[in-house]
Amino acid sequence: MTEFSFSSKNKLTLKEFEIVNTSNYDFSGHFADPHKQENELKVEIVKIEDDGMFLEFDMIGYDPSVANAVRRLLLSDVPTMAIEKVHIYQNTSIMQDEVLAHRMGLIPLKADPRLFKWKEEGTEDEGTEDDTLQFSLQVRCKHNPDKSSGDPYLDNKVFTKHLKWIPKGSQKDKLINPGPVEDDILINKLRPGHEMDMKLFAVKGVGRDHAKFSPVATAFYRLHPEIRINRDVFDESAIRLVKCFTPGVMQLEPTEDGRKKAKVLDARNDMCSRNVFRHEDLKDAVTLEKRKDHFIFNVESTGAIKSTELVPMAIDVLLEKCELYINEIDSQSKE
Amino acid sequence: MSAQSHTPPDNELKLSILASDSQYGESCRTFVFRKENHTLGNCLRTMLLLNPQVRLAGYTMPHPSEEVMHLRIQTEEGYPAQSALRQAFVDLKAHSLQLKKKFESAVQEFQSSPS
Repeated sequence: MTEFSFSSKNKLTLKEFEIVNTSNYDFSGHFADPHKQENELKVEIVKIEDDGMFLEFDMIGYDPSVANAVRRLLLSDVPTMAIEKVHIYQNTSIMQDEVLAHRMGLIPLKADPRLFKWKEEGTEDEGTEDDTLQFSLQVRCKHNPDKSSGDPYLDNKVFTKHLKWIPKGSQKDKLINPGPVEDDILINKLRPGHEMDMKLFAVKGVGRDHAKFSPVATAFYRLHPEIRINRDVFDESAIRLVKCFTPGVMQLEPTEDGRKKAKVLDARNDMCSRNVFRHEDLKDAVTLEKRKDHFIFNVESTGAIKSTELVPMAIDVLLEKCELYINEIDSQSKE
Repeated sequence: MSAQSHTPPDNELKLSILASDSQYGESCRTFVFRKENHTLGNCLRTMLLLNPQVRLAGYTMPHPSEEVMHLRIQTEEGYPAQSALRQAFVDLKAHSLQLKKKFESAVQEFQSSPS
């Protein structure tokens, strides 16, 4: 029985040595019906975990250019706060000043960038209460006078919990704890006599400028896989076939005459390893495909803003760009 | 939460036109975008190709060292390329707004449903 798929143009096929039908039908003259599209475009949330910091959602029916734009915007155009200027007054530790300063920049901060203004270039490092967040880090390592405890040193490991927030102006009323997301991020290691004393200034920036400003640990999408069984596979071959895929994707189903048949349970979790092509006899038993318009997004925030808020912020950036250019076109055409 | 701009302020002209094209009339243009890349380019190209009066739409980044994007539009006679571009932005804006609304209602639905 051949299964004729009416939406075959919507799927790309993973063959042994190639992937076919990957291109979208985007050439002039081939345009979709805008009225039909409205019902076919769907967004579904699958999972929200870790207090909103991890999000898995599906975009169905959308063009890959829009899905990719969302992904790119999440990585590089949604702003965050991060330490930019480091004034080092004392650093007798082993770690060089510049390496230490670099590490401070990479520490994720909980501060909400929407509450801050952009800092203008060329202004002094101290900044104002509207655009800068100030921290201080002062640690000195000593010998531990308490000989009985196992630790011979005091403060030999410098963690993010040693960072102290110095509120400017009315910041103490407006912000609650804008410090690092985690308290136990190791910054430096010291020995008795080493001292660190520095002032840190955090500003608003975007991932395009420096990756430290990216609000996501990462954001990625994959296409929804599909597995079609071309011919029934039984018993020993079925067990091998099931093992070819990620656990949970295929399972063995008992048939009436006591044999076991391989069946597709849920192709969503398949990692598309194409392991099935390593078996000569099972190669033709399945067709591996992916749905070209079904994007499974994973967005993991670094901790400043929840992932459920990051996606609308990313789309807002795109909307802002559109508005900017529409206004620019209108003003240029008036000239 | 103040309605702050998400993008850093930029004082120079972001959109201009490649000078060589004016002799071919209004329906062929190459637009030069500063500080733009695939994020906007590919979306615009998609929106342009959905417009039945657009004959050709393509974008490129001439050199990776410069953050400059060229968008080439060729349209039917009588329909200026600039109008096609403006329409593409309007369509993209409507499309993104719809996406944002769908996302937000999906989040609400997920959070209000039990378990």
